[in-house]
Amino acid sequence: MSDLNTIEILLVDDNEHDAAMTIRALKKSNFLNKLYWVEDGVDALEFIRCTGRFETRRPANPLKLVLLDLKMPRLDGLEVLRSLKADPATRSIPVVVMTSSNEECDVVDSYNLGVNGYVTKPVEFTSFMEQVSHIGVFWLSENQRPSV
Amino acid sequence: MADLGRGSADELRRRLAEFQESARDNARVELARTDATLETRLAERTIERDDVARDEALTQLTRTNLAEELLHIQAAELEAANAELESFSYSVSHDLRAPVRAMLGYTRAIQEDYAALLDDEGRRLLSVVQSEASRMGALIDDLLAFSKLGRRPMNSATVNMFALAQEEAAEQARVANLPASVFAIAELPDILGDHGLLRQVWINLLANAVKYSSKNADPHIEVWAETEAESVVFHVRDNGVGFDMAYAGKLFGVFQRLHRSSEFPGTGVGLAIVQRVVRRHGGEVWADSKLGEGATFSFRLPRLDG
Repeated sequence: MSDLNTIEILLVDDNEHDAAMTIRALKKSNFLNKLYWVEDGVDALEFIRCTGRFETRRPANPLKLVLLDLKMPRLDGLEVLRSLKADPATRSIPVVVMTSSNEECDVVDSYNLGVNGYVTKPVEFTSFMEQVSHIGVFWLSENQRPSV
Repeated sequence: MADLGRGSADELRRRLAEFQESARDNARVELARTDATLETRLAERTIERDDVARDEALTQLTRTNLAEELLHIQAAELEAANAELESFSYSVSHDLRAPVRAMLGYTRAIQEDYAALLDDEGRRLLSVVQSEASRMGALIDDLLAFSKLGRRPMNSATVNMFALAQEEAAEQARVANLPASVFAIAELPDILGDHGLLRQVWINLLANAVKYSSKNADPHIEVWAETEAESVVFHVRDNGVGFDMAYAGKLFGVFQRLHRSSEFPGTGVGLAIVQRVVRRHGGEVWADSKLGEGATFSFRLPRLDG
């Protein structure tokens, strides 16, 4: 895995196959170089806050994107989102929920907590590829964020 | 017999009077007694009747209470069943889609990275796995759409059915790469209903008409409406393959198909959705056809001014 201090994309997904597909899709779109994958919400918060097993991490730049699954063990995606958006230090990190669920309640809850985007993972790999590529292009190349 | 003289006559008269008096007294007593008995009996019977009435009232009350209690229990059970159904479709959406996505993803990965290691038969088998996994994904997604539809609240407003049918016909023509002239849409009356749900009805019926007339070199799809006393009947007629009326009862069931997927692709959810939406609007849907002579799908909805 690449240097933890230069990571730009954090992928949070408990399903290793879904994660593998996302990584493959990002690799094809040439966005893979600065990605780190964690398997649940606890690890995600520790990574972002440089605590616990990530306490030695000294990020050079803030994350450009968090790709967040919803249903996960230990701490689910909505809790991670709530925690990130309630904290002034992490509020401006773009979070895109990427989930299997297209349940209205999940979409509404995510937006109420301040999510920056919500996509339902399609089952077809071609559509999934396109989706990941679009997300990569927009959030990693085009999106403008506060400089500090 | 001398005693029976004048004195005797007096005596007789006196005794008769006495007798009459006593008889009258007796009768009075008897009468009083009868009266009393009657009154007692009457009273008893009244009490009895009251008791019966009270028992009946109690029984009625108990019955009502029981019925109410039963209703509460049933409502609670229904709510529990609904909640269970919700959580079921939630886990279907999350848990069933993920493995299918993995199958499709890895199949694609093998095709991209290892195609050279497989011979033609190997590649063919892999593409079968891919298309079947893809079909399973479509079935899951359609089943979810169908279940979501039932739980979605209705937002009723005046719906311009003519505009909706025209928009969706144009869209279907675009998707199927057909000239717009394939569709002939007569003016349609407005309806009170849910715009989004009724749009889905038009999408499904028009897409079906396009699909099943795709093997006709010169497809024609007509849409028109007839206004009845209290309702409007909308019709969509195509000149496609049609179906055998013996199977008409199966048309609107979930996952019911009258054609093989290899002939006409589909999951068999479209018409089930149409029926669900039309019924939620207080209407009905049916179809007429002859094998090889096209089909007419019709649905009746309450009139806006009816």
